[in-house]
Amino acid sequence: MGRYAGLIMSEVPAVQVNRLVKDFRGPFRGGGIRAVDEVSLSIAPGEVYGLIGPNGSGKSTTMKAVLGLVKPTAGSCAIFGRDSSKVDSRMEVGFLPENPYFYKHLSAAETVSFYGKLCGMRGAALKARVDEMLELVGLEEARHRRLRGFSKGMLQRIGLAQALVQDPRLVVLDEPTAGVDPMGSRQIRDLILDLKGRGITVFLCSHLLEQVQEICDRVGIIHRGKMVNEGDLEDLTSIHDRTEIILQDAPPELLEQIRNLVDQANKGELVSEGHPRSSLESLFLKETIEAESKQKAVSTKQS
Amino acid sequence: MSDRPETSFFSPRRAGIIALSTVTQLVRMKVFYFLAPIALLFVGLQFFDAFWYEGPEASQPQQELMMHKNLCLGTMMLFSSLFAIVSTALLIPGDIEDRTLYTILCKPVPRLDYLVGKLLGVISVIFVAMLVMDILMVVTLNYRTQVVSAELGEYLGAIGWGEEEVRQGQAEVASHGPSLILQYGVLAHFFKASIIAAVALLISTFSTSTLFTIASSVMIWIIGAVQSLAREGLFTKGEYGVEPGMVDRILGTIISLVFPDFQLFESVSDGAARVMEIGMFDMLHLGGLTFFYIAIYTVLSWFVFSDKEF
Amino acid sequence: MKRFLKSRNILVIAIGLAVSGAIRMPVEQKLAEDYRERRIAAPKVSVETWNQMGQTGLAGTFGGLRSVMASILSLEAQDHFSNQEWYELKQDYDVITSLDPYNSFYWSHGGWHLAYNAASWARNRDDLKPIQRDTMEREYLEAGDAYYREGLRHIPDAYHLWGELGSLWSNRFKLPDYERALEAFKMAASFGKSPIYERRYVYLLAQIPGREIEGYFEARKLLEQDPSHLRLPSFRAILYALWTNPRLPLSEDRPEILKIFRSEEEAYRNLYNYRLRSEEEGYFRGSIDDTLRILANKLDVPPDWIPFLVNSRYRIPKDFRSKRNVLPHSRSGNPYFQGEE
Repeated sequence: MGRYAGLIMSEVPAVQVNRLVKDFRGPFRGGGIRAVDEVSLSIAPGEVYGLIGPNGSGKSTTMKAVLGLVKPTAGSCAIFGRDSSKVDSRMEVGFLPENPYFYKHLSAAETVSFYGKLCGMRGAALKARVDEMLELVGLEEARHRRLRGFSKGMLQRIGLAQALVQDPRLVVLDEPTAGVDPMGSRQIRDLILDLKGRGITVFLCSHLLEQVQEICDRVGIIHRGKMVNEGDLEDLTSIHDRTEIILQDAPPELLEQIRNLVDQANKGELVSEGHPRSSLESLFLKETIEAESKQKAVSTKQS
Repeated sequence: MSDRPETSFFSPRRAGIIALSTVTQLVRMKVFYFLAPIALLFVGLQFFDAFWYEGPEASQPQQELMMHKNLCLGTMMLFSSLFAIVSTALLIPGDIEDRTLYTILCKPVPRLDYLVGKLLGVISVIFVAMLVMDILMVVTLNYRTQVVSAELGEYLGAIGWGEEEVRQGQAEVASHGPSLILQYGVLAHFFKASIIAAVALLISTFSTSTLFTIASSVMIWIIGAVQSLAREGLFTKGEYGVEPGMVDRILGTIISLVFPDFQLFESVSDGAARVMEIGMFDMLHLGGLTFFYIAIYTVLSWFVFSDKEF
Repeated sequence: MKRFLKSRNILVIAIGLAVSGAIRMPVEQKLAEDYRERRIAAPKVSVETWNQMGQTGLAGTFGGLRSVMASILSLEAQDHFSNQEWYELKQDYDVITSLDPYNSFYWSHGGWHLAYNAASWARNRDDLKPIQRDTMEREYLEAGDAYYREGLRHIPDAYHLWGELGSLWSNRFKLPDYERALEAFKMAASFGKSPIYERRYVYLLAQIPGREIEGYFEARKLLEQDPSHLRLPSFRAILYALWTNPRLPLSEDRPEILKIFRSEEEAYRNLYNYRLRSEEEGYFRGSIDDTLRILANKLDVPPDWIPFLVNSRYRIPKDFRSKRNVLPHSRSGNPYFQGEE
């Protein structure tokens, strides 16, 4: 059952999808597409859940059904126990769509304020919340700029700000890092982890598997509308019959001893050895952040 | 379960927020810039003498003022109707295309609030635009009335009319100038534009093409101008006392039931320009009819929109 | 187009529109009839007129711009007037008055084109026999008359249309019909909005042989209602002339100059001009020749300044009007014609 075995069984799931089916009617009678085929999933409160699959697998449709944007053909969806087709359920949800667009005629602050008002917020509380959200996503300086002039990354961040404005217990992210540069992706990732730290449930869809692997607690793999696998990330990705030991500054003699020990043991086999690899992303970030720090140090010295 | 309060079926406040956002959107799209050429037109009417107007000695001075009023009211009618159609037709499909609608409907916003908010936003902008045009019309018409009245006074004095008679003549001319009744004509056009906006809203809920929405709305606008002919055929005998045939009756019934009657609003506007006796009760009746139309179209829009998937 | 319109939605919309339509139709019909009765709404357009409407007219009707389209069509009508295409012009005005039936201007102009322009054109047609010319002229006059009256049917309080009818039938250069003219001026005057028609009624009575006594009493009535009529020279002169009628009842006062005119000079001036007009327009002269002789003696007016009084059988020469301005008794040289008039 994984690390959530200790979960109190009576706690209401943040998201509960039971045997969801969604058919889309085709242009001609008899022609239709089953986008989602008997998908069930359950997301516990405070969890980060990733729904992954190739393009056209039914991820977005499942997400939209949870958000009430499409009506299930069969099955049900609930958010914290409330039927997701009811408007009430959306008080608990913040949604960041893929490639988000907002009213371009509004500024950043006006946008967040607009969505806050739609959630019933007003007055000083709303104003304070808008300031907090803009600070959280790092857009304070651009608060008065109209969204027309925003880059994709900035739009993504505004999307997050509006998704979080009403302090939801569930945040739904559809491809949150698609088209975003590595630095931006890192920031979004950190933000998601921060949300998790605050006990906010995160439900995200993505086909960027490395990023999902970094942040999710549980994943569901969907393919051609069917859930083909689901479970704890650790459980799903572990190769149980192999063990990894990483040594720091090990001398060649020690390495030779370890090889001999494996040879002498009747069980086990040394499959491979070598230097572990860092990710290209880590290298990129390391180089760029270091370069920035050096530049800052030089300009401080000069001034 | 969440301890947050339940969302009401309809929230005027939420609709108002969406309306305000729509107004901001339209204003920042610089739609009011059209008022500049209209202002030029209204002011230009001061210098336009109808070719047949040979002055008070040959023609009725009221005719010139009628021409001024008719042109102003006609311009206001055209603008308000076209604006209502185009802006409403752009709103919902635009929100769907941009996916702005997703983020709005993912908040606790009932679809009815969204529709009503959009409609109210468009109607608010039409109201402000018509108010500005109305002020322009009143100012220019007032100026023209004074000029015409002075010309008439001079002419009547020259042909020997007494002071009292001249005053009477001038008073009659002045009665064709700005008046409360003229405002009723403007209000009638505003009512008509509001209904057209509601019609465009209904069509846009099931149309995915802005062009289709605009074209259909324009067709309904045109048919609405002559719907009364179809209705008359059902309630009265035809010319020469001939009853309409079965096919005519069926067609007439369908047209009368489905399409709005805009001729009523045009009649009030024409009558206002001619300074006919139109009172507050007439406007209350017309307002009630307007509200009825808007309510029906909004409810039907909501019915379609509530089932819409994105 | 995506088929969002499920059959259930179509059915609900259709039923919704039908039910709401059934509720509002009687209300709208009642409103429309009420507006038509109060002349707020235009009357129904006849089938013939529908057929005559070109694209402009139809566009005006459909677009709700009837008044504006009427104005535009009247420009087209001007073209027909310039080309003397009277049939096309009448057709245009039929459409114009259908689009804007409560605008008296169009009825007035339509009537004017037919009764004056078209009738004059008919009278001057040398290619026709006299009787044909007369018949055609009368037809156009009657057509113009019909237009004014149709206008009055739509706009009963357009008193100036009555005035125009009166002018038409009292016009001595056309085919005058004094009874119709009198009826029209009386109707125009009955609205009490324009004193000019009250006076024209009197003036016309002064032109109709045998109605002079009636004219006198009408003029006296006007004077009693509003003494300010006396400020007008024409009125003064006609009233005096009618007063000098020897057939007036004996109970009436004898005419006194200074009861009507402010001075003998003014009396001479006004009566002199009236005498000239009466030759052309047939106004009743009464005994103003005697008055003019008396005044001429009193005021020492040179005899050659009053040609028609030297010899009572003196005939005004045919070219008198053209010589009027160069003869000593022309206005420009005559001290008695300085100032007013």
